[in-house]
Amino acid sequence: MSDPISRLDQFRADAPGAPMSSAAEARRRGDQIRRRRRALVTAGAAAVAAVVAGPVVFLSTGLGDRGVDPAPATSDSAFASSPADSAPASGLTRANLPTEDDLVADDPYPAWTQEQTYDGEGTDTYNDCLTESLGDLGAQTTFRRDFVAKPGEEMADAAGTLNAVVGEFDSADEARKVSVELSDAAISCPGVDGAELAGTLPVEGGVISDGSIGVVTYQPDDPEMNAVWEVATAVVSADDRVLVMTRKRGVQDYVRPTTLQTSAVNAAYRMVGATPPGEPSTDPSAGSTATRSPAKDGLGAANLVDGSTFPALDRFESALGWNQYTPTPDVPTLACQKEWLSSLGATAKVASDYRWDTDRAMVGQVHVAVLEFADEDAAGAAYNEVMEWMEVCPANKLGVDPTVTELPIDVSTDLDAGPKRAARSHATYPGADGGDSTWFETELVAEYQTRLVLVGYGELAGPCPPSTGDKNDPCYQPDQPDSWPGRILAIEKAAVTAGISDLR
Amino acid sequence: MDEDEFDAFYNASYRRVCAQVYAMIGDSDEAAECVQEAFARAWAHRRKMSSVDYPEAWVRTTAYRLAVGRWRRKKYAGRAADRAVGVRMEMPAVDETHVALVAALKKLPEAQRQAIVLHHIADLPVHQVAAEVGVPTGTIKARLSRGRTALAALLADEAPGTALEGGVR
Repeated sequence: MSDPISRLDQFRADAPGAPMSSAAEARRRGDQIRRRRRALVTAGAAAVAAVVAGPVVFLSTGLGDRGVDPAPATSDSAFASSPADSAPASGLTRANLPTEDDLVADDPYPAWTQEQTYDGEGTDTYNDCLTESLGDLGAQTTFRRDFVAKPGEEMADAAGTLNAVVGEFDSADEARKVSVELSDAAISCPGVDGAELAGTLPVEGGVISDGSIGVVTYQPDDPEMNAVWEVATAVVSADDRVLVMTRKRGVQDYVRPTTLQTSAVNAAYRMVGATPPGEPSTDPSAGSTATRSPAKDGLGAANLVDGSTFPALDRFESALGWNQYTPTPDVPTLACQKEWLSSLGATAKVASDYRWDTDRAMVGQVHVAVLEFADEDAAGAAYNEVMEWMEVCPANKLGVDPTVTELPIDVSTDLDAGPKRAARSHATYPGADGGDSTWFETELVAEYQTRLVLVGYGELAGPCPPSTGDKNDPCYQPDQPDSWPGRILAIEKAAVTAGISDLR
Repeated sequence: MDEDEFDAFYNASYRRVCAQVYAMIGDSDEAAECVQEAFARAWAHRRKMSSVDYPEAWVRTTAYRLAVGRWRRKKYAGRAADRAVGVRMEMPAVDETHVALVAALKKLPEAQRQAIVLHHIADLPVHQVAAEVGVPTGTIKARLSRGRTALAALLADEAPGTALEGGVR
């Protein structure tokens, strides 16, 4: 009998596999869970009270958060923020705590607003991953400031929590050691059984001595349907001070990462009395646009293609389609890129990233960057540099060695926007499964006046590339749609058109 | 939800949910433990359960997520899975044809398997499956169609009288 319907019907009727257990046993276990939860809440309250007398241990329950956003100096994510007038701090005060202006809200949540500040508090009661307070670790002075999403506004209840704990130590060395120790704890999350690391991102540059963001997820003790807890912990040291910033919320797996890195950088600057380099508290990545760098000098969300217009990757079923995300850790726009794009000397940049996922893995990715230069000569020089990357592929940002399979060719007439120059090349690099899977990447650079648009578009296939429809190709796959070339061109056209839309 | 209501809910749903989770994860022991834990959590949150429209769906989803979480922990962290219920339960023997069916289900992509289990074993209408999974009804219909086709092929490959590999421990 191989009829699946009748087999399934019979299975339903028999309900096999049920053990012998009683409702009373389930209730006993449920009562145990309730007792444990109450004990945790009580202990948390006691910890807050005890801090007046001395150091306490981090105790936490509650929501999680995934939070990574643009790195200011170390990647394609954003531009280097020039160190501001970093004045040596003298005595940690409330003035060194982050304010609303330092914090980046992320769409669709409202802006963060200050809720309460605690003097002498070195614990973050909301961070499940950290088990020690800054006081325990030797801080002489500590503060904690809690933020909530602006109450009463839409989505405020779902935004989770954001807290900053700041401590001053005897020396910069000591502060840096504590920072490293806490960063390790944030990643390994010893306080939560079953926490999984979702990603890490460095926080570097300017006044910062050491810094990183770790994001973990875990199943909630009190399960909400279709959600996991996410905890994003930024730990940054600057001078003799340490900042621990925690963003937590309950999220569904497909929700794109929220922003935390710019907020942490801004808070670190303020912690040492320097002027924060970041943008105001309004979200630079609102909507489906720029997620990886603040818009500057004429570039904005309108210069980034809307991923919802991309043609479907029809070889694979995906519940979400093209989904905007923030790569963690960051990835280069083009696989063959030698340096982060900040090395090109642009005056501004916006960028965005999309991925196509099946139930099992990412099978498609689009990376777009739009760069603005001081003049056409600078843009031209940068174009030549990118062309060299595409020809030689001196990649060192991806952790693999891509191979150029097709050298750049002129495609300027293929693009509706009419760029001055445009070139496309192809490269491949191995998929993550260690088998035959291969990323087939198309790399494009287009130049128009003072602007460059870069597009890296990858599809997972292997060992043959996605079908092109050429029946003479030994890799021709009749069971696959022949939409790959059309998809490449459509994405490139849309990205270039948007990238130079304000110049034409 | 008081004790009597909970017990009635438990007795009416337990076997059914166990079978559904077993069909989804392919491991009857694990399914039983996770369902038991999910019911325990339902009792721990009984005030909230009173306002839940479909308590059985809540338990099923919680149990499935517990099972996935435990599996991930074992696979990626090298840690022992939590044994919240403690004592390992005595399992009744499972019919060989059901073992083969579960083994075949286990070979389907997770999304297809979930759709088939919820529609054909949990007996939910398509729109309710879509709501529980969080995707459009059209997607569920496509997953059901593809899943049934793949399942038929897998069952056709099955040698008479033998179970497919995998499945229960």
